[in-house]
Amino acid sequence: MKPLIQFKNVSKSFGKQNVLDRIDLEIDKGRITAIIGKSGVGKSVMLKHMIGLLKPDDGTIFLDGMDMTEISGQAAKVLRQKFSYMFQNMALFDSMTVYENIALPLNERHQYQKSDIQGKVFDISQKLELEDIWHKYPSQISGGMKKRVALARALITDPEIILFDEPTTGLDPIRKHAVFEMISQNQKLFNYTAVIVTHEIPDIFYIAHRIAFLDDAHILYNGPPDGIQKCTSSVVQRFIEPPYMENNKI
Amino acid sequence: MRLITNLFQFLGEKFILFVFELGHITIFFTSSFFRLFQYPWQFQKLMHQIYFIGVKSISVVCLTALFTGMVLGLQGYYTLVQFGSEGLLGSAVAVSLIRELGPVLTAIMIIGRAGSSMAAEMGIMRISDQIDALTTMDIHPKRFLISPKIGAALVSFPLLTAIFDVVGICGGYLSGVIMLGINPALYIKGMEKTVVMNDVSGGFIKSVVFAIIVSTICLYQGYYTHRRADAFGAKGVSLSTTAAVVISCVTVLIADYVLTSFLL
Repeated sequence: MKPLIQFKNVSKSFGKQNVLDRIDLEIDKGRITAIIGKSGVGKSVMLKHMIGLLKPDDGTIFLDGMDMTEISGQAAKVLRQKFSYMFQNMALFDSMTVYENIALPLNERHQYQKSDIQGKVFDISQKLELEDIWHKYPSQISGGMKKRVALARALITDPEIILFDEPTTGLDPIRKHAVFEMISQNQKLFNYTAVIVTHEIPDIFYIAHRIAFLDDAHILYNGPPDGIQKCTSSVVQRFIEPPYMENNKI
Repeated sequence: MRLITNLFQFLGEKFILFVFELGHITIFFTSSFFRLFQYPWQFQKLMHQIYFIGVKSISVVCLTALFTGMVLGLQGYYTLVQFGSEGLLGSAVAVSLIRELGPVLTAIMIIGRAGSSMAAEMGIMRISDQIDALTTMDIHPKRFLISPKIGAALVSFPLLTAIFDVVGICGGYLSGVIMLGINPALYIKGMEKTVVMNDVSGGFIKSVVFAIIVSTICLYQGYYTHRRADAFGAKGVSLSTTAAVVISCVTVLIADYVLTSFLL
């Protein structure tokens, strides 16, 4: 399968801290790829490179065969319209209502009638149980609700590629499963490419087609979810091993 | 010798940094300003910002202008009366307000009311990823956030300066004519004789330049709050807001001197 996004020898440092060191990674088109790893190892940094918020110090990132680091102007604009990004801290506009937040990407593209926008916002709100809080501001809703609003905003433009930065953090188990299920179902329905940064193990193994494990600026595992158990890296094994099973105690 | 070398090295570094920052801020202003004229127009956002920067500053500008005019009337009267020239009070109050105090004090009041708020708003949007979120949604952050504010400042500053001038002249009338008993005809006639169109246009030019300076510095400080090396997060926003107010005020005063020397 031809990769949609391809990292080739990508390196990135912040000051003296080397976050990515000659990383090679391929994201398959129409698949769900999960990037897992400990906190602060640079998973979100990888996502930000994919959408162009960060530029690599070295190496290249290809999107559909085009070098993203070389593209600018109108070509970059066209590429960016293929993406949606769900931020770890939601990044909702706190001076706008929930409705305005969800409708913003459509309002600013000036391609849709007001009634079409309202219809689309209504559809996505219904799926995510958000229609009762349209008039509220982000500061007036719970963390879980904010997650769902951010998710609605990411899905409203029907993007080809969605980058999810810890989409389920702070959600209760029922909503967490609902979000993963929705990502998986919508992915099958719309065939979008999803890249998810998460800590939710083992839940992510049920929906992801490919897992990449990032640690100490390197990819330690890159393959299907069922192969990660066989990975010889002790860091990977320690990460995926449920801690509550140690000594058979909770 | 080494001390002198180090001193020059320090000064050189600071100067290069200053020139770099000046270039960066100029690019920030021009790229944001020209996006104001990009289709589709952002008329509604512009109106909203004019309301925030302009309309909501009217009361504070009026209050400052009234008391500035009254103080000028009092001070002017007691100085002029020593030379028997109290009839010149109207012209003294009007000229000093229209040429100098109107544009400068209006700019300083707007810095305090709207400039600090714009810097803080941008800073919070930056640290909470809202500006990055706009980029990911293919919405140009400068066009969406900065352009309407710069446009609104360019409209609001001259209008508020005009209001300041008028209210200030009324304040001078209040203290000079009503409280101290100067002939009202002398106050108004003196003003009519002395104030020329050049004074008014000079004040207008100053207010436009101050609008550019204040809006650009305040928005720039907030927009790039994440680049601060001395603080991050909430503290970074607080330092950016303080820097926005201090730098804007100082720059307005320096620019006032430079403009006055050219306009006189």
